[in-house]
Amino acid sequence: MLGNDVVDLNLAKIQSNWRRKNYLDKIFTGEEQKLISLAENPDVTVWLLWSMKEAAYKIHNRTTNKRLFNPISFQCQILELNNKTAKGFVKYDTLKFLTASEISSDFIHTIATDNSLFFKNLNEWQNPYHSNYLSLFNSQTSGYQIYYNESGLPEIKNTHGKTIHDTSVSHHGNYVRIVFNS
Amino acid sequence: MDKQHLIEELITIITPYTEEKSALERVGENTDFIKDLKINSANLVDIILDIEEKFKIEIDNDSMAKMLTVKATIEVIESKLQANAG
Repeated sequence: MLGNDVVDLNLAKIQSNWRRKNYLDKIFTGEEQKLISLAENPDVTVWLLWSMKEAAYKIHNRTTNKRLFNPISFQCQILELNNKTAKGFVKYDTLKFLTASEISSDFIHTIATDNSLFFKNLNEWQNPYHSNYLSLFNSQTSGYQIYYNESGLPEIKNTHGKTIHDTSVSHHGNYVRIVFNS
Repeated sequence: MDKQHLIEELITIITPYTEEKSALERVGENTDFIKDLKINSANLVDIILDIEEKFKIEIDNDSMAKMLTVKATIEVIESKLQANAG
Protein backbone atom coordinates (compact mmCIF):
# COMPACT_ATOMS: atom_id res chain seq x y z
CA MET A 1 0.00 0.00 0.00
CA LEU A 2 1.04 3.61 -0.53
CA GLY A 3 0.71 6.75 1.56
CA ASN A 4 1.97 10.23 0.79
CA ASP A 5 2.10 13.65 2.39
CA VAL A 6 3.10 17.01 0.99
CA VAL A 7 3.96 20.03 3.16
CA ASP A 8 3.95 23.52 1.67
CA LEU A 9 6.84 24.98 3.68
CA ASN A 10 5.78 28.58 3.14
CA LEU A 11 2.29 27.83 4.42
CA ALA A 12 3.63 25.72 7.31
CA LYS A 13 5.68 28.71 8.40
CA ILE A 14 2.50 30.77 8.79
CA GLN A 15 0.19 27.98 9.98
CA SER A 16 2.31 26.33 12.64
CA ASN A 17 4.72 27.56 15.24
CA TRP A 18 6.55 24.38 16.19
CA ARG A 19 8.77 26.38 18.54
CA ARG A 20 5.77 26.86 20.80
CA LYS A 21 6.32 25.41 24.29
CA ASN A 22 5.50 21.66 24.48
CA TYR A 23 4.62 21.46 20.76
CA LEU A 24 7.45 19.08 19.84
CA ASP A 25 6.87 16.93 22.95
CA LYS A 26 3.36 16.11 21.74
CA ILE A 27 4.39 14.73 18.36
CA PHE A 28 8.06 13.78 18.35
CA THR A 29 10.01 11.17 20.34
CA GLY A 30 13.12 12.19 22.26
CA GLU A 31 15.29 10.83 19.47
CA GLU A 32 13.40 12.81 16.82
CA GLN A 33 13.67 15.99 18.90
CA LYS A 34 17.40 15.42 19.10
CA LEU A 35 17.59 15.26 15.29
CA ILE A 36 15.70 18.55 15.12
CA SER A 37 17.91 20.30 17.68
CA LEU A 38 21.08 19.17 15.91
CA ALA A 39 19.81 19.98 12.40
CA GLU A 40 21.37 22.62 10.24
CA ASN A 41 17.88 23.58 9.10
CA PRO A 42 15.47 22.61 11.90
CA ASP A 43 12.39 23.74 9.90
CA VAL A 44 13.14 21.22 7.19
CA THR A 45 13.78 18.45 9.72
CA VAL A 46 10.51 19.16 11.58
CA TRP A 47 8.42 18.98 8.40
CA LEU A 48 10.37 16.07 6.95
CA LEU A 49 9.69 14.00 10.07
CA TRP A 50 6.08 15.17 10.13
CA SER A 51 5.47 14.22 6.49
CA MET A 52 7.05 10.78 7.13
CA LYS A 53 4.66 10.23 10.03
CA GLU A 54 1.63 11.43 8.03
CA ALA A 55 2.47 9.29 4.99
CA ALA A 56 2.88 6.19 7.19
CA TYR A 57 -0.29 7.06 9.13
CA LYS A 58 -2.30 7.09 5.90
CA ILE A 59 -1.34 3.49 5.15
CA HIS A 60 -2.06 2.38 8.70
CA ASN A 61 -5.38 4.20 8.69
CA ARG A 62 -6.42 2.51 5.43
CA THR A 63 -5.36 -0.95 6.56
CA THR A 64 -6.99 -0.82 9.98
CA ASN A 65 -9.81 1.65 9.32
CA LYS A 66 -8.92 3.20 12.67
CA ARG A 67 -8.61 6.95 13.06
CA LEU A 68 -6.33 8.12 15.84
CA PHE A 69 -4.28 11.27 16.39
CA ASN A 70 -1.11 9.62 17.67
CA PRO A 71 1.84 10.99 15.70
CA ILE A 72 4.27 10.25 18.54
CA SER A 73 3.63 6.51 18.08
CA PHE A 74 4.98 6.69 14.54
CA GLN A 75 8.73 6.66 15.11
CA CYS A 76 10.99 7.91 12.36
CA GLN A 77 14.51 6.91 11.41
CA ILE A 78 16.32 8.86 8.73
CA LEU A 79 18.85 6.68 6.89
CA GLU A 80 19.99 9.08 4.17
CA LEU A 81 19.58 12.82 3.96
CA ASN A 82 20.89 15.45 1.58
CA ASN A 83 19.44 18.79 0.57
CA LYS A 84 17.21 17.24 -2.13
CA THR A 85 16.12 13.83 -0.87
CA ALA A 86 15.76 11.71 2.22
CA LYS A 87 15.26 8.02 2.80
CA GLY A 88 14.18 6.33 5.98
CA PHE A 89 11.51 4.32 7.70
CA VAL A 90 8.72 4.76 10.21
CA LYS A 91 7.99 2.20 12.89
CA TYR A 92 4.58 1.71 14.46
CA ASP A 93 4.38 -1.12 16.98
CA THR A 94 5.70 -4.08 15.01
CA LEU A 95 5.02 -2.49 11.61
CA LYS A 96 7.63 -0.81 9.48
CA PHE A 97 6.99 1.60 6.61
CA LEU A 98 9.71 2.62 4.18
CA THR A 99 9.83 6.27 3.16
CA ALA A 100 11.33 8.32 0.34
CA SER A 101 11.15 12.11 0.49
CA GLU A 102 11.75 14.94 -1.91
CA ILE A 103 12.99 18.17 -0.34
CA SER A 104 13.02 21.65 -1.85
CA SER A 105 13.06 25.13 -0.36
CA ASP A 106 9.28 25.36 -0.94
CA PHE A 107 7.90 21.93 -0.14
CA ILE A 108 8.60 18.46 1.24
CA HIS A 109 6.89 15.40 -0.19
CA THR A 110 7.16 11.96 1.39
CA ILE A 111 5.94 8.66 -0.04
CA ALA A 112 5.62 5.72 2.35
CA THR A 113 4.98 2.07 1.64
CA ASP A 114 4.56 -1.14 3.58
CA ASN A 115 6.16 -3.12 0.78
CA SER A 116 9.31 -1.96 -1.01
CA LEU A 117 8.04 -3.55 -4.25
CA PHE A 118 5.62 -0.63 -4.49
CA PHE A 119 8.52 1.72 -5.10
CA LYS A 120 9.30 -0.17 -8.32
CA ASN A 121 6.29 0.87 -10.42
CA LEU A 122 5.65 4.14 -8.73
CA ASN A 123 4.04 7.00 -10.61
CA GLU A 124 3.89 10.50 -9.26
CA TRP A 125 1.64 13.25 -10.56
CA GLN A 126 2.25 16.81 -9.47
CA ASN A 127 0.56 20.05 -10.15
CA PRO A 128 0.14 23.45 -8.54
CA TYR A 129 -2.97 23.12 -6.39
CA HIS A 130 -6.28 23.79 -8.07
CA SER A 131 -9.66 22.76 -6.65
CA ASN A 132 -10.40 20.63 -9.74
CA TYR A 133 -7.14 18.67 -9.49
CA LEU A 134 -8.91 15.31 -9.85
CA SER A 135 -10.24 16.19 -13.31
CA LEU A 136 -6.85 17.67 -14.20
CA PHE A 137 -5.25 14.37 -13.24
CA ASN A 138 -7.77 12.45 -15.35
CA SER A 139 -7.23 14.61 -18.41
CA GLN A 140 -3.42 14.59 -18.09
CA THR A 141 -2.86 10.93 -17.20
CA SER A 142 -3.85 8.77 -20.11
CA GLY A 143 -5.07 5.28 -19.28
CA TYR A 144 -5.83 6.03 -15.62
CA GLN A 145 -8.85 7.53 -13.89
CA ILE A 146 -8.95 8.62 -10.27
CA TYR A 147 -12.13 8.71 -8.18
CA TYR A 148 -13.24 8.39 -4.56
CA ASN A 149 -14.81 5.07 -3.60
CA GLU A 150 -17.79 4.44 -1.27
CA SER A 151 -15.56 4.63 1.80
CA GLY A 152 -14.35 8.06 0.72
CA LEU A 153 -10.90 6.78 -0.24
CA PRO A 154 -9.15 7.54 -3.51
CA GLU A 155 -8.72 4.75 -6.08
CA ILE A 156 -7.25 4.64 -9.54
CA LYS A 157 -8.62 2.48 -12.32
CA ASN A 158 -6.71 1.45 -15.40
CA THR A 159 -9.19 2.32 -18.13
CA HIS A 160 -7.99 -0.50 -20.41
CA GLY A 161 -7.53 -3.48 -18.10
CA LYS A 162 -10.06 -2.16 -15.55
CA THR A 163 -7.61 -3.07 -12.79
CA ILE A 164 -7.77 -1.05 -9.57
CA HIS A 165 -4.50 0.49 -8.43
CA ASP A 166 -3.31 1.58 -5.06
CA THR A 167 -3.08 5.36 -4.71
CA SER A 168 -2.62 8.17 -2.22
CA VAL A 169 -3.46 11.86 -2.58
CA SER A 170 -2.06 14.76 -0.60
CA HIS A 171 -2.73 18.48 -0.77
CA HIS A 172 -1.33 21.35 1.30
CA GLY A 173 -1.22 25.01 0.32
CA ASN A 174 0.01 25.40 -3.25
CA TYR A 175 0.85 21.75 -3.76
CA VAL A 176 -0.98 18.59 -4.74
CA ARG A 177 0.66 15.21 -5.22
CA ILE A 178 -0.94 11.97 -6.37
CA VAL A 179 1.09 8.75 -6.22
CA PHE A 180 0.00 5.38 -7.61
CA ASN A 181 1.29 2.04 -8.75
CA SER A 182 1.01 1.08 -12.37
CA MET B 1 -18.69 23.70 33.96
CA ASP B 2 -21.61 22.25 31.99
CA LYS B 3 -21.27 20.59 28.61
CA GLN B 4 -22.71 23.48 26.60
CA HIS B 5 -20.26 25.87 28.22
CA LEU B 6 -17.39 23.46 27.46
CA ILE B 7 -18.43 23.29 23.80
CA GLU B 8 -18.51 27.09 23.62
CA GLU B 9 -15.02 27.32 25.12
CA LEU B 10 -13.84 24.70 22.65
CA ILE B 11 -15.29 26.61 19.69
CA THR B 12 -13.38 29.72 20.81
CA ILE B 13 -10.19 27.65 20.84
CA ILE B 14 -10.67 26.04 17.40
CA THR B 15 -11.88 29.15 15.56
CA PRO B 16 -8.44 30.49 14.56
CA TYR B 17 -7.47 27.12 13.08
CA THR B 18 -10.33 26.61 10.63
CA GLU B 19 -11.14 28.35 7.39
CA GLU B 20 -14.59 26.74 7.36
CA LYS B 21 -16.11 29.61 9.34
CA SER B 22 -19.62 28.66 8.21
CA ALA B 23 -19.16 25.11 9.55
CA LEU B 24 -18.35 26.65 12.94
CA GLU B 25 -21.95 27.79 13.23
CA ARG B 26 -23.11 24.19 13.02
CA VAL B 27 -20.64 22.71 15.50
CA GLY B 28 -22.16 19.94 17.60
CA GLU B 29 -20.91 16.90 19.47
CA ASN B 30 -20.39 14.93 16.27
CA THR B 31 -18.33 17.58 14.50
CA ASP B 32 -15.03 16.16 13.25
CA PHE B 33 -12.07 18.57 13.38
CA ILE B 34 -10.45 17.29 10.20
CA LYS B 35 -13.40 16.13 8.08
CA ASP B 36 -15.90 18.89 8.95
CA LEU B 37 -13.73 21.83 9.92
CA LYS B 38 -10.80 21.01 7.59
CA ILE B 39 -8.33 21.66 10.37
CA ASN B 40 -4.75 20.87 9.42
CA SER B 41 -3.44 17.96 11.50
CA ALA B 42 -0.38 19.99 12.56
CA ASN B 43 -2.81 22.53 14.04
CA LEU B 44 -4.55 19.81 16.06
CA VAL B 45 -1.43 19.94 18.22
CA ASP B 46 -2.08 23.66 18.83
CA ILE B 47 -5.66 22.91 19.79
CA ILE B 48 -4.49 20.28 22.31
CA LEU B 49 -1.96 22.76 23.79
CA ASP B 50 -4.58 25.54 23.93
CA ILE B 51 -6.95 23.17 25.75
CA GLU B 52 -4.22 22.24 28.26
CA GLU B 53 -3.55 25.92 28.95
CA LYS B 54 -7.18 27.01 29.08
CA PHE B 55 -8.38 24.23 31.39
CA LYS B 56 -5.09 23.76 33.27
CA ILE B 57 -5.05 20.05 32.51
CA GLU B 58 -2.44 17.69 31.12
CA ILE B 59 -3.42 15.57 28.14
CA ASP B 60 -1.57 12.26 27.87
CA ASN B 61 -0.81 10.62 24.51
CA ASP B 62 -3.61 8.03 24.75
CA SER B 63 -6.20 10.74 25.39
CA MET B 64 -4.79 12.93 22.61
CA ALA B 65 -5.11 10.02 20.17
CA LYS B 66 -8.92 10.14 20.55
CA MET B 67 -9.34 13.89 20.16
CA LEU B 68 -10.59 14.06 16.57
CA THR B 69 -14.17 15.06 17.32
CA VAL B 70 -15.89 17.56 19.61
CA LYS B 71 -17.53 14.71 21.53
CA ALA B 72 -14.28 12.84 22.25
CA THR B 73 -12.51 16.09 23.15
CA ILE B 74 -15.22 17.13 25.61
CA GLU B 75 -15.02 13.67 27.20
CA VAL B 76 -11.27 14.00 27.66
CA ILE B 77 -11.59 17.52 29.14
CA GLU B 78 -14.36 16.40 31.51
CA SER B 79 -12.43 13.39 32.75
CA LYS B 80 -9.23 15.40 33.28
CA LEU B 81 -11.10 18.16 35.12
CA GLN B 82 -12.73 15.54 37.31
CA ALA B 83 -9.36 13.95 38.07
CA ASN B 84 -7.99 17.39 39.01
CA ALA B 85 -10.94 18.06 41.31
CA GLY B 86 -10.67 14.66 42.98
